[in-house]
Amino acid sequence: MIGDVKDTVMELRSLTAGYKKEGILFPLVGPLNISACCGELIAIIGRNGIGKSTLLKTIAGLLKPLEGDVIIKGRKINEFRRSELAETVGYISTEQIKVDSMKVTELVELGRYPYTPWSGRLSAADNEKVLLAMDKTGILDLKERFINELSDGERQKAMIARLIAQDTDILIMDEPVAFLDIKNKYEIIHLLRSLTREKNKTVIFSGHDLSLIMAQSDRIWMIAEGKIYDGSPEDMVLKGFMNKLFDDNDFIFSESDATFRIKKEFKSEVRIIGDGINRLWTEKAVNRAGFVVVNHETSISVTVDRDDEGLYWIYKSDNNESAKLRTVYELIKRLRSLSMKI
Amino acid sequence: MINNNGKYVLSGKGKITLLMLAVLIITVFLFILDIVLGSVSIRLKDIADVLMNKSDSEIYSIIVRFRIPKAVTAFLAGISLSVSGLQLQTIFRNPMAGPYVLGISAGASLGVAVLILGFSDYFTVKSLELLGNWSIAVAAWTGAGFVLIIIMLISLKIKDILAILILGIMLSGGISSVVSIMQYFSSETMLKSYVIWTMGSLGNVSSQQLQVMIVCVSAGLIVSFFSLKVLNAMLIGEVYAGTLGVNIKMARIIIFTGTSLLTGTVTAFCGPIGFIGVAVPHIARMVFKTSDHRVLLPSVILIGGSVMLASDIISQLPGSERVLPVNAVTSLIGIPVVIWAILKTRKYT
Repeated sequence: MIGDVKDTVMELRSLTAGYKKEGILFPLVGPLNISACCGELIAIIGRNGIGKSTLLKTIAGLLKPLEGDVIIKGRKINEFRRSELAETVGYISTEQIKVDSMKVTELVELGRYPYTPWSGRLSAADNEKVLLAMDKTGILDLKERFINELSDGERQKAMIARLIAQDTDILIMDEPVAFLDIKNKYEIIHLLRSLTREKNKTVIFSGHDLSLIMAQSDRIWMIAEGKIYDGSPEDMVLKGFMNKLFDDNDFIFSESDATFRIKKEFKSEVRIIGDGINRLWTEKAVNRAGFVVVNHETSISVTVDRDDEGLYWIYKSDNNESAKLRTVYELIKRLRSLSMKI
Repeated sequence: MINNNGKYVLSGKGKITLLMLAVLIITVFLFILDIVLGSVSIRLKDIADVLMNKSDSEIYSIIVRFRIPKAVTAFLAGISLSVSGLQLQTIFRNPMAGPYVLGISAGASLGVAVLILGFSDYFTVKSLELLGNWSIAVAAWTGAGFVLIIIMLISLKIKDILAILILGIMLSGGISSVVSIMQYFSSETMLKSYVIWTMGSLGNVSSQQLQVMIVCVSAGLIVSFFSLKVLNAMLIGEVYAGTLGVNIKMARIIIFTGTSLLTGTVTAFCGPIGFIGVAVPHIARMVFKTSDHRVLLPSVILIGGSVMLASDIISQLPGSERVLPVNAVTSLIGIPVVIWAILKTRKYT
């Protein structure tokens, strides 16, 4: 076990998460035995409908466990008083909040709810934290804007600012980067990382952006077949866990570039001569066209190199067809017309 | 606060204080205007004389026995319905919610109908008077609370804003059918006393009834005042409010009790008054540009009171002998605001 017991901030003890409908239990995941440490950025992955949101709601205290316990800082979650839990665990879902006439500041101020007196009045220290949260998420300029007028990315940042202002040790986020563009996705994941590094917060979030998650998270909890596969992103790849994600033999994980592909029957071999980045991108294109790239002598060869006019590709086939092409697009067109003939 | 150009600009708080002061002045002005204007015109000097106890008895009795109680009733009715509307809009997260549109006013009428008509075999018209104003108020609260619980149970299943609105209309329709059936089976004397009650207006409220109203509305406002922080959290929905530490069940019970008190009391003594409750919170949000209940509650109190006073002034048709039903006036003021709010909501969805 890594780290000592003091580091453990949350522990799931034979936890079964699921929901209850008309008295019937629908268990989705579990029993799970796993713990999260201080300062970890943990990504929960799994296919749609497998129970990620249900698990997140259960560990946030919004759903009762069907069985087992969620232990936070050594105490069962149901032993916490409401206000105490609100100071320890924060949560945001995928729900898009629309409130008439609510300003960004007003939304972020709600994060201080557990700390304010009955009147809701914010102290100077509270206001400081609100400003700091808006600064961290880069929305200080938007503080007087109405949340209904924001873009999806800006609104999500405002929601995250509210969560940061709540200043809990554990932050639970259900798909925090869904509907965002790639720049916003990176900014938000980067922000979550900095929370774990600078403030020693534990962030548990779910998502579908594999390459982002593989690159940024400390740890992956992969839900498949009702179980959790746990490890660093690299462990997941090297132990071959990733192919369990979708449980589909035709949809396979490529260890070399951390992406999933639909398995194809390759038509024919192509030898690529060239190196560096030019070779890499040519390989990608040739693969997509349905050919397997080899390094030995074969019927089709492609040479990539540079001359005075820029990049070129020389394409040769065994029936003595040959052409000098200036774009990958043209090359692929050639290869595809060839594969038609085959 | 001084901006870059060296000019004074108002900061958020200063602006709100100034706006609140302006609304307060308008409210006081409308209150005085409501006393002055009517079928018998009264000069401001007369009011001053009344206040200094040196007026002739006729003007004195018009002002003290009739005009002031009516203005106070209008003011209280406006406050109650508007504060109810604000709370309902927040709890249901529905800009179309209000005591009238959700059928809560109808529920209060049902409570009174059950009291007057349902027990017609046991009471005479005389004994009904003995039942007193408190029992009518309690009956109205019960009816209002009953409808609120039904709406809440259904809104847990249906989240769609307009579906809840249609549900409220259905409930109002259903309740008025039940009341009609009860009228059909009740004795003539009871029916008469019920019909007189349904025609209740701001002007018919007796001083005893006004006392009951003042007590109940104050109680409702105190409940609302202590719910301000919770109401702010409820704006972002029950799930998030829960993660902030709000006891959702408790919050619902407290806020619904306040709403039933406010709407029930007004409906018991003034009859159903439409569209004030749904419209005033929108006006307040438009003027104050905030969703913070610590600002919205006082502004809704003042604007709600003002709108009701204005409606009363208009319904008197100053200078003429005729009086319009106040419900018609409030609908004409409220409906355009509601339509505007619907269009605004559509824009964001």
